Amino acid sequence: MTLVEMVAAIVVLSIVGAMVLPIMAGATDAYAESVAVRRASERAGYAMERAIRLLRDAPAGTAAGEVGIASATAASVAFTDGRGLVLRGGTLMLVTPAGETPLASGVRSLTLGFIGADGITSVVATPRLTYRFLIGIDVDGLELRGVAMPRVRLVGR
Amino acid sequence: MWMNDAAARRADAVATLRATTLATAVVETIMADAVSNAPGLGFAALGNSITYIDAPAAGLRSRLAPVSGLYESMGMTHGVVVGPLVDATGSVNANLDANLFRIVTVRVDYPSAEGPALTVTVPFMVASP
Repeated sequence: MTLVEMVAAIVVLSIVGAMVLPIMAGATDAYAESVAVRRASERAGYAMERAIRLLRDAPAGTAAGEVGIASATAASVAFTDGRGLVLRGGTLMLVTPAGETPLASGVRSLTLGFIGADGITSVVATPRLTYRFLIGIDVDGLELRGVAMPRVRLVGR
Repeated sequence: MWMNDAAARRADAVATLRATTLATAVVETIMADAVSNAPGLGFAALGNSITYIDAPAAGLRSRLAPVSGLYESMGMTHGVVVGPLVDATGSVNANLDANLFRIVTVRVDYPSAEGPALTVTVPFMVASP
């Protein structure tokens, strides 16, 4: 192989490499992004499932036909039995009488809605009248929205 | 190519999570409606499924819009089919007093990154108070 042939081979390989590398880099970036989204979805899914389970299990209130909610805001809920949900510095916390347990990190927002019997009216000012909770969780840009019905509404209706 | 396939599978897993979350939201809303004492709701409202689902403002679809809108923007659609009154076994009983339930089926269709659209179907039973 002459020097000229070697230089020509290097030039050709360089051109081919310059064409292929961006394609490889794009595919690798897309793959890495899909992995990140998948991880965020796993955390969001877990947090949503646990949050909905808690909201379904809301305790009965002191009066018939009421749910035991001690306090309610657009980003937190506390039940009369000491359990609840709250967002603290990007971590969604499950509140229990024994303390707080992290459910998910990287939580950009937690949105709670308290809807009354008609399915339309917000009862956040009188949360004991809640018939359904709306919940939205954003984990690293992956947003989920859900609904939970307090099962105590099935008892003694 | 294999990286694209892997990415498509991951995208479908995320879409499936979203679809099941939407289906759960619809189921929970219908259950809450069935026990509601508000005018126009309650178990009896399921008897007129067209009004119950599609009435402007008060219908299920309108009331669910704050939740379902997120998923619909991603190409998902949901449908609800309310069945006739049945007994505890899920069959129409000749003894009409035994027909105290309805089977409601929630279906969510969503696009797949890998091929044809995917579907989540959730049938469940709602009881008369």
